[in-house]
Amino acid sequence: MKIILTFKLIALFVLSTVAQNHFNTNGVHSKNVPHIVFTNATIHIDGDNIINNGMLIIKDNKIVYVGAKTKISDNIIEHDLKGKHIYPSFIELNSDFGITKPKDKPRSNSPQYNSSKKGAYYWNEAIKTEENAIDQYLFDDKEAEKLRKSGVGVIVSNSQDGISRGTGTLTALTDKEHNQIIEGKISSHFSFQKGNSRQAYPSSLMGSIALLRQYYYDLEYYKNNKTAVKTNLTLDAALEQTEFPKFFTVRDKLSILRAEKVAKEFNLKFHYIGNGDEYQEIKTLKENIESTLIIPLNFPKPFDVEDPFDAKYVSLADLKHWEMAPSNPYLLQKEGIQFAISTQGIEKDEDFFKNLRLAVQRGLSKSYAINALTKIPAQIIEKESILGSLEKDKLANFIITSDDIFNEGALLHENWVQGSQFIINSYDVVDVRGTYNLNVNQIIRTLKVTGTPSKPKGSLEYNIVTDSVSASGDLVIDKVTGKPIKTTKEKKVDAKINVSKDFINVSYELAEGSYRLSGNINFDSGSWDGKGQMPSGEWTDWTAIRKEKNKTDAKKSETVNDTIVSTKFNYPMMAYGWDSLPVQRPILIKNATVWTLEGEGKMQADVLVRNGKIASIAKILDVVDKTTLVIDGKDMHLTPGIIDEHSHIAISRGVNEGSHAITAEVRIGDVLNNDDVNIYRQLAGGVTAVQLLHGSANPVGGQSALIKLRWGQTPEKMKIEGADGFIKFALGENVKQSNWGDYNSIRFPQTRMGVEQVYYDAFIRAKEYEKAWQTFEIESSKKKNNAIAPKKDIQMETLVEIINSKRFISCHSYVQSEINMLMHVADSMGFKINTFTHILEGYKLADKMKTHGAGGSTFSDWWAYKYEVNDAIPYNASLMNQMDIVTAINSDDAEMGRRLNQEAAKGMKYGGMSDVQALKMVTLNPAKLLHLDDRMGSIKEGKDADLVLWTAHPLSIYAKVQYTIIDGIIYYDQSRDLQMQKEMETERTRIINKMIQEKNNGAPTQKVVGKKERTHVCTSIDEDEL
Amino acid sequence: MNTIQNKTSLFSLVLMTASLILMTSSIFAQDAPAPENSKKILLINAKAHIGTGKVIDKSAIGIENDKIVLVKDALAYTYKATDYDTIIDLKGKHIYPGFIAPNTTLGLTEIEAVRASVDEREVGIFNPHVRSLIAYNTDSRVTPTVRTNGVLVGQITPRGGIISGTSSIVHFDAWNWEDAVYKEDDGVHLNWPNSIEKRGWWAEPGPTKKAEKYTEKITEIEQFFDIAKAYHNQKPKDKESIDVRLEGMKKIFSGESNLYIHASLYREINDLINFKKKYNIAKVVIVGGYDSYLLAKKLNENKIAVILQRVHSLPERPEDDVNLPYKLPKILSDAQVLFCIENSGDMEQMGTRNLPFYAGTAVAYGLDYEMAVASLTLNAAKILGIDHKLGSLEVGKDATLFVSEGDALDMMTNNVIMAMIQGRTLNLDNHQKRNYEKYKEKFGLE
Repeated sequence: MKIILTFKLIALFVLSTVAQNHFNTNGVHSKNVPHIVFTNATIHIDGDNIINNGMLIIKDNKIVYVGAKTKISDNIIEHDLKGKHIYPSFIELNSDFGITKPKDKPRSNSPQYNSSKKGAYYWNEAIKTEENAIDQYLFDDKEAEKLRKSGVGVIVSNSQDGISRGTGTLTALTDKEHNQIIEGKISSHFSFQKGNSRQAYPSSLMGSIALLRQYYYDLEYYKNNKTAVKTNLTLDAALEQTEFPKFFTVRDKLSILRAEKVAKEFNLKFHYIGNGDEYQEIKTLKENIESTLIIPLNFPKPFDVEDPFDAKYVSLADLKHWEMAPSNPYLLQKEGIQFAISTQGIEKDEDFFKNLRLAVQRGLSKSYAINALTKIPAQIIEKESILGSLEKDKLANFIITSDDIFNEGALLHENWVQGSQFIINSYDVVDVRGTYNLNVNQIIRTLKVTGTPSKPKGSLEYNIVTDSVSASGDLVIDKVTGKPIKTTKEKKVDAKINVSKDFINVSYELAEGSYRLSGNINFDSGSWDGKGQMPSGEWTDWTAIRKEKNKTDAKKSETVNDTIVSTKFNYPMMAYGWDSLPVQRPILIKNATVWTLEGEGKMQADVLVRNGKIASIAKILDVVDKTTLVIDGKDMHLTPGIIDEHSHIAISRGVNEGSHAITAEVRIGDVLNNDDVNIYRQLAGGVTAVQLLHGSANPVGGQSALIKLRWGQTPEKMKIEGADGFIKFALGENVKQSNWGDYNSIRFPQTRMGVEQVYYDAFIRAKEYEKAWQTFEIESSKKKNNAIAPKKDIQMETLVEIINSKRFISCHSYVQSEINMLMHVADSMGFKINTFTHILEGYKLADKMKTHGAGGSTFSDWWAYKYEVNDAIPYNASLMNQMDIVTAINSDDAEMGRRLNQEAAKGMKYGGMSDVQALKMVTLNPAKLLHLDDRMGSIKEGKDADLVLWTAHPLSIYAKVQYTIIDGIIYYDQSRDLQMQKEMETERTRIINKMIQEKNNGAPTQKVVGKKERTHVCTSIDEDEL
Repeated sequence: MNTIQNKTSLFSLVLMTASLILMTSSIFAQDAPAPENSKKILLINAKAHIGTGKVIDKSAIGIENDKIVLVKDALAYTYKATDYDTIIDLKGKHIYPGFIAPNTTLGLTEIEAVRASVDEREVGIFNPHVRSLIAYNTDSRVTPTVRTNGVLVGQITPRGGIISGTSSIVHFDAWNWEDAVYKEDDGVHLNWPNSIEKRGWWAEPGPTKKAEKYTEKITEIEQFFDIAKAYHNQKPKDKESIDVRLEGMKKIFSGESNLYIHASLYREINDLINFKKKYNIAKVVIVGGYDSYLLAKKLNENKIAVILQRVHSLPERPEDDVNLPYKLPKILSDAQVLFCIENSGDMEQMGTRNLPFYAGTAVAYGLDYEMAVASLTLNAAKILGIDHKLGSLEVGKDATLFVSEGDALDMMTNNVIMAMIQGRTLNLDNHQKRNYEKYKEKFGLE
């Protein structure tokens, strides 16, 4: 650190100008504005620069001098701060201070499809860019006091509601109204939560993302065609805010990446208000984020884990987060990710400094910690010229502490806001804690004083000596002395202590009544004396002689415990997470029965895997390369990895955007969740690739994501490179809302008849949209070009992709009539239905499907769960297969997903398929349906090494998975799995013991709340969790 | 007669083959229950899975009227062909006692999403008087599709409330519930409070947390049992009036019926054991029992059996062994806890036909094969209190059994070619098969 020493004489009065008073004054005008001078303090100009024994001078609301001691003129008020520290006060960027929380809007039973906001605003209520925090700002004394106690001086407040939340306001926490507002509109705020909007759309996280994207496209169009379009107040406001710093509030680390994708698409810069789990995706954040994170220090409390069975419900993920969370700031700093620290989200205000110190113990540098609270936030809001450090001409916002802020027990004395003094802990607070002999009326008792210096707590301890009394009530007599035997009982009584400067009050209650004492503190000896009144009403003198001072917390700061950080990372940070990601290596599987599913079906062979691909299949292979892992597959069976055409695992916050009839604009790929334990569980069932489908709540649902189950990798790395785009369509009871309750009866369509019209309308509009763009392209290429680009509509773009065979449909379907209908719609509009999924009545129109060219992905034996599946038969797959339709068996269920080999085997039971045919239904056939059969689905040289080694015939119920391999990497290994379970138990026990230790040391705890993994089926409609 | 002679005589005496049986069965009116058996039938040479844990590789099983009259090793059994009206050679095939589905709503609910077809959940909290039997629909379209996989008997169980009601045990081939009943009112079903609350809803379960009102809810149950017990203990002559609800509880206190307590987790099972002791309830059976293996010793000491939850389930907690639900039968078996396997949960009515495969998965994860069979047959019968009539291929028991072309616990080979309930040979056709045939014909498929 560099020490600034400035020896400069300053002319204090040069700066004063005649105050431009806007106020009416009653009486004589007070014109004198004195200089306030702080001397002898350690002044932290910012995190990096310190002046020892320095001087700070302020006038009105500004700093006029910072530097070494200097000569000062008259008209000053001096504060001698010997031994004390001055820091710039903290800037809080994440707050709704002074903003009334938005009221819950009345909930109607029926869904609300249109905005309830009157006026020329954006169509969706969750987009309220036009709202300004300043318009409803009302200073809140109580909250201000709390914030000042945490060292905050300046704050950005905004209404924390909605997806586009409008502007924030920059204010100071002073009660002097005309000093409060620094800048009325300083920032724009965003999130993925729709807040108090009751409008149906969006109902899912992916819907929020789509809405935000479309909003930005609308804005772009509005900006470029200002004269041609109708005025929209929301978009006008957005244009005004173009240059504002933008804050995006997220609920977890993955949402930072999700929002960043939007930012990149529209060339925006979002600063992310995170939740403290950023360390879990730190590398990915580093690669993707250039803006600043705003992180809380709300480290979780230990759980109540004494009961081992309750403790089972605290997930390893939560245990690890408890341990790792305090290292989050350090890890971010280490990785070079810029962040500011927020004081928010901590249950008890006083814990803020405690947690800040903990973060520093874990390795965060002190200078960065200070900057993260001051300079960095000032830079983000582009106010570093007036805020964020203690320099001349900046605003006089600073705090005075008793010691280095990072030292245990350092007190925050004063928080100066815009030149106004707020006392938090008076300098005069005398630490009266200790043990005293309290002498009242010649009776001496022990008084112990604990608590905090400003709030001492007393307890009076003494012994009572009484005669022993037997159970029968008789006195117990000592046989030798003949006198009653005396017994001693320890008593403890609370004593109330009030200290005000050197004046002290002590009161307590004994059996005979209450004692009330009043006196003075003798600072030199630490003893007290005075007068008091006894229960009898008599007055008496009293003294309290200090025997010993409060033992200052001798606990030294823990040494930096970096090992927690370096050794205990898991990918993902939860049950069955890897210590380090598995790597690719050559693998030779010998002597297994190889189900190639090519011409020969199955054969005895050895399979060599190299560079993630199947290198060769032959009888005997000698491997020279020593790095090759050789697996003896004797009596085992090697099959291609299982591919699930229809899955809903690994999806965050909503599998359905179940609001509108058409939601082609939403993308499952935006909301992948790599923390879903079902990924690992399905690997254990031999699944290697899945199509993650949108739900079936609407005729046109969202876009699918095709992923491989690369457990431990980030969402983007799970996606299958270069895969074709797919989309979910749906028919029948779900889209006509048959089972949604009596109130969901207003959305079009409510009948199968309406579904047809939804499709025709949509695709006719899509064609018109495409034509408009084509016309524009032609016009704009002409020399005299004044063509106006049509508005980009991400929903229409998706439908155009379908028409142009760039996106393919997987349609949830049951009943033959509507399946027939959709094929007619498709034929007449010039596209194909790639796959009918579920397709339980496929057996009734297999000929028509064949003609159309659709495949079928069905359940083995589900039926009778609703009216439209009453005619479903388990022979469906067999019949479709016999009709040469590409037929797959899918799960749509996290449990069944791990037994798809068994479900395929039912094809042999119901309809007599061969075993090769049956196995193809969960491997090669779904690969074909997903256009992945050129690289997956069979064991063939050059294809991806996605393989499963089974302990028995793969279709037998007795088959268990020994290895699941994806891209030549072993992602599941049965023996490693058992070892991992043991390691997890050890790791859990280690952390649990640590928690119990902390609890025993007096840390407050929290009740057991476990993580329950989410499972989806395609009818899941969920808004509560959004 | 020596065995070789026996074999030769057998070949000449076989009157029917299994495939003939199928043909004869189609003589009956479609979907009509099979007529009573008055013949003497010998099933010979099938691998017999007795249900007791025993297996006979080549068996001879004699049936007369509705009963099993003979169970022998075919290699050591000599018979006169004239003693039988029908002899069926089942060489290479498997014969099993009819599988029993405990805790099922089959016949109470036809189509889950169609409210009018759902009859499983009565209004009210304590409903011991509500009886499933009279709502059991013998004409359900689901049951015939369950029989064809070997599941022939079920415990029809109401759902909901704290005490859901009283179950009964029926077989799956009857004109009406009176004909169907195997054991009327076999027990009362008590849903033990959850010690862990799961928030959210079925599709999006939220985080789990310790149930705050758990002990209060137990107190509520105890208060009801106090009242019910007081009612039970009074002398009939002192009875002022008949309380229909409490009458439903009498057989629990007298020890005639089972009290089925639906519970899953450690704390719950621990507490229900104490509850059993407190109220001195003779027969308690746990339904669900995910954590029951953790208390195996206590369960054995207190003679509490377990109707184990669906084997094909996801683990309860993310850290749990991925295959724990598959391994539970083996773990319970090793701990010598008496258990059988149930199928409640999503898609439970139509999914009852997958019951055999739960046992198959249990075998894959270590359970002895014949013990797996026992968990669907004799052990289920013991737990439900019908083992004097059902559950094993033993002389004197009802001829409720089936023959599968291959291993019935494996979907790859489960192929039921013949089934009997009380000696009556069932029609194994169902509407799903007919629909298949209908469309195969339409499309000209083989």
